[in-house]
Amino acid sequence: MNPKSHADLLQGTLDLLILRTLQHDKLHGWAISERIQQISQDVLQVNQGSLYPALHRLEQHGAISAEWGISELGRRARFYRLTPAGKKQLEIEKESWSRMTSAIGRILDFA
Amino acid sequence: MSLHIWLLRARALFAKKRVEEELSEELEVHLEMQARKHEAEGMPREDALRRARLELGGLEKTKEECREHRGIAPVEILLRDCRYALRTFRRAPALALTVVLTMAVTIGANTTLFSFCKAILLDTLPVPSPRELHLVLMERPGMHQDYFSFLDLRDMRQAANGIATLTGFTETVELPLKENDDETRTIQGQLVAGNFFSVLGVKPFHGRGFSAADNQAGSPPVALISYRFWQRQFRGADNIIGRQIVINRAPVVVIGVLPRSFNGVEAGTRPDLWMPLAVQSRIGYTGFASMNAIDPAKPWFLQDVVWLHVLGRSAGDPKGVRLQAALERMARVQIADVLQKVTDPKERDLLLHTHILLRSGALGLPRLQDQFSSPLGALFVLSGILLFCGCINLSSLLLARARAQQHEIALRLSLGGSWGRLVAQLLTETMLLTSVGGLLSLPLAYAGERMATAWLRMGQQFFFLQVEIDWDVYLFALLLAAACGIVIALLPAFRYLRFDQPGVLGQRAQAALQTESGWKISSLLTMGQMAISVVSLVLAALLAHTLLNYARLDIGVDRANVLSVMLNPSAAGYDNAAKLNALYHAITAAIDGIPGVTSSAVSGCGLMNGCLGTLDIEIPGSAKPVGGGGLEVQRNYVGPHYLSCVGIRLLRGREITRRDTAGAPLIAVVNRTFEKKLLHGENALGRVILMEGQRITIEGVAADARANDIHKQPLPLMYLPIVQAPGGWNISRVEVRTAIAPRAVEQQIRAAIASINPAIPVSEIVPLSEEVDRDLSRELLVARLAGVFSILTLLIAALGLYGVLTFEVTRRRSEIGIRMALGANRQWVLRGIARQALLILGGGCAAGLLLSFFASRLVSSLIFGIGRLDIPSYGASLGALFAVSLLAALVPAWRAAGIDPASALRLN
Repeated sequence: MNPKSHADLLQGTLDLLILRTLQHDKLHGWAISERIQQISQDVLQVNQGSLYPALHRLEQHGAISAEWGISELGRRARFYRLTPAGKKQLEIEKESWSRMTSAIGRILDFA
Repeated sequence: MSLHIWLLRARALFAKKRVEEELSEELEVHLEMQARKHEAEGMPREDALRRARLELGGLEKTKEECREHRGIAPVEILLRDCRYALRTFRRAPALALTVVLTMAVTIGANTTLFSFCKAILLDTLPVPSPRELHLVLMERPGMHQDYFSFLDLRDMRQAANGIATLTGFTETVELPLKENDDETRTIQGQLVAGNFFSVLGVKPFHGRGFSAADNQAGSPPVALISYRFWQRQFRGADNIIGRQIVINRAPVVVIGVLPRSFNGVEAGTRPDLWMPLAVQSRIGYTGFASMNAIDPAKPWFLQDVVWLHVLGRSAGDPKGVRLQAALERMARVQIADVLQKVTDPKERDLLLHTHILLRSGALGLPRLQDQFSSPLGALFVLSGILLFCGCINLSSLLLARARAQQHEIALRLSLGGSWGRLVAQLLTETMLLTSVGGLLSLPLAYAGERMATAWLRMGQQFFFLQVEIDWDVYLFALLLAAACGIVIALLPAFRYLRFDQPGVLGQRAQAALQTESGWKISSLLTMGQMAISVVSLVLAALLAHTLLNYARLDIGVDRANVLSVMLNPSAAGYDNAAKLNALYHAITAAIDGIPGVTSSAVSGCGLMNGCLGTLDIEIPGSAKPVGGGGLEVQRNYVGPHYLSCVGIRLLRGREITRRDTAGAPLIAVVNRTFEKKLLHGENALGRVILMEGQRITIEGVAADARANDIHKQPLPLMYLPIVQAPGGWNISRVEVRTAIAPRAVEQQIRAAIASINPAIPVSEIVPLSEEVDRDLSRELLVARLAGVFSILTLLIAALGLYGVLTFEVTRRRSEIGIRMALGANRQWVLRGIARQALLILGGGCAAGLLLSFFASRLVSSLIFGIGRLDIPSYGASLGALFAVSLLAALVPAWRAAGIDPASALRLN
């Protein structure tokens, strides 16, 4: 599959993945992309060009908040964490995602 | 949206540099980490960094995408547009300044006028449900009467029982308030029926309202005072309730203070206190009343004395239909009673056509409204003209600029500028100019409002009108002007946007200006401006000519050299003939001794204040008037040499002198109208008048004076020696003739009267000329406002002409250059510009004259001594327009004549 269309497919789910990744941890941008890649066992490659705009958008919507902290390199980095509003959004998106996957699963089984 | 997000946006907007730095840092940290990851996989540092950058998909592009999510893009664009607009204005400051000033002046002037009119015509009384209030009127053929007696009020209350509650109140009058042993000051007061405040729905701020007991004959006088009077006179003292004050030597107890918002029920006045009708005899109230058959021994409210306005509140019947019907029924019954005794057919006819009507009392007693409602039409037209002219100027200027920018717009479009962004840019520029102008107009509106109130007050001590800037009007004028400017500025812009871009770009910037249609629109607009300026100027000129006619009018008295002193000796205890007559002698002797004073004379009534009432007399040998009763005349009790003092000419016989003492034979001097109307032109000398049981011989005939009201023809009037008045007569005036400027002796006169008795209140000292002007206050105010409006309109129109011609010269610069290079001389150029100017001016004037003829109908009730087609007024207006237009055309013409053919051709 063409990686570009792969990224496009993921566009809608990127928010969900970011929110899920931040559910228990405070992470900076690079760590978020690494984490997604690791957990999905390299199946999901986050397009780094769309990661940061997505982070800024979520911050503007109040789902995540950012603060400066010290990264593992010893340099200042911008760490993101989930806000209460973001937790709610994560629940809603998780539910709609599972509804959608089960619906798609049923269609595939049926066909 | 939460506060947090607004904070983020505010930070993005106001700490832009910091936010940008943080974004760069965040992305750099990312690149560094990604690069290290690749290095760890064995990639050289250089390649690792490049790979990381590629994965990010371009640093700047990512940054831009992040920025877009900050939610402040529209604000940033707006700020950029504003900065661009400011740069444009700096390049053409004259244009920006003109637009701003035009806006400020037109909107300021209109807001002033509308706020002012609103205060007079629309502001209702500050009471609950003012629309339920109605004033009662009696209508007879040819007259309205809004005065009734207390007995009438009682009948009306009975008739309206269960339908409405009715109350009565007197005119606001000046009353002497004793301040300490030797000082009195004049305050304003009003007598009211006991239920006055409960009918209005006004509750005292402090203390209590009037009770039934307060309104009994013989009950101790009480008063409610205004909030302002409480603050000013008593410094807001807490123990004001129960305090005693002395009004006209009668002790009055303060029982309450009214709320701050309540200023009485008549625009133009502001009473300091209100007292029950029953105190009339105690405080010696002698305000307006029909003077016939008053028994001075009995209180007025028990007699058939007509002195009260009747105000009713009809809850649940806002139009007062049922109240009117009930009062009319009552009147019909009473008239039927009277008719049985009346045989004269004319009087019967008069009675049969007498009706009771209501008019709205929502504004209170509409004295100012009645005075100003007719000239308002003219003022509104003038303000509309000004607003229209201002809008046209804005439009022409912005149109010219849009045309000048045509080349730039085409260029930007061809370089990929978006259509919407260009329109937004134009809008921003226009809005910026109009809003600055709108803001500047506010201080102008405040200044104008203060000026107009001062013009209306005309130095009257007690005049009061509450005027507030009306924000609705301000917004309306602002939006109208802005909309006007935007629409016309954008029309050409839209057209350019449709242009075939290479075509427009192919032209030079100069060539782009040479579109004929825009020039035509501009000249037509300017022509319209000229036309309506003519209307404005003609209306103002007609009013100015009217004032000139009044100033030149021979009113029969010498208005230049007479000073009127208004005083009230009865307030200081002068209550019988002996005391009064001794006082008059002392006052005139003291004033005559002041250097600069030629002579002085006391009089019961002033010349211009309309205090002359009428009474009935009989003249043996002269026909009685139809309808029974006596002959209706005015009278004025005056001191010796009164006529020569105020400058009224004596036609025959002699005037009143010191020889006419109380014991001497009773005499009178009558005016020419008396002789003409009551004696049918026969010689009055030696005729006898029967008045109130006295036989009076006419010893002199004086010329007519327009006393009482300058607008009215003189009525039959007799001057009687004041010392011969039965029981003495309280004066209200001393007229002083001076050889120097009348105002110069004011202080000496006050001192002279105080030296006789400091307790005599002197309310005002004013030159007769100023009193005449007060009589003309309506004409003066309207003429002054019309003058201001028409001058502003003229200036704006001249500015418009200047703008159009300047643009024309710029447009035809290369053409003129070519013609001059081919041999045309400067005269030819000047002629061309002059022809353009004259075309606009001539067309405008022709249309304007036609319009003026119809518009002059608006002021026909105000003009005096001239017709609506007054040639000097029209001539002066056209003259002013031509002169100012000539000046406006001179600069562009001069500039055109100065075009250097070589440089103009090089430009092409």
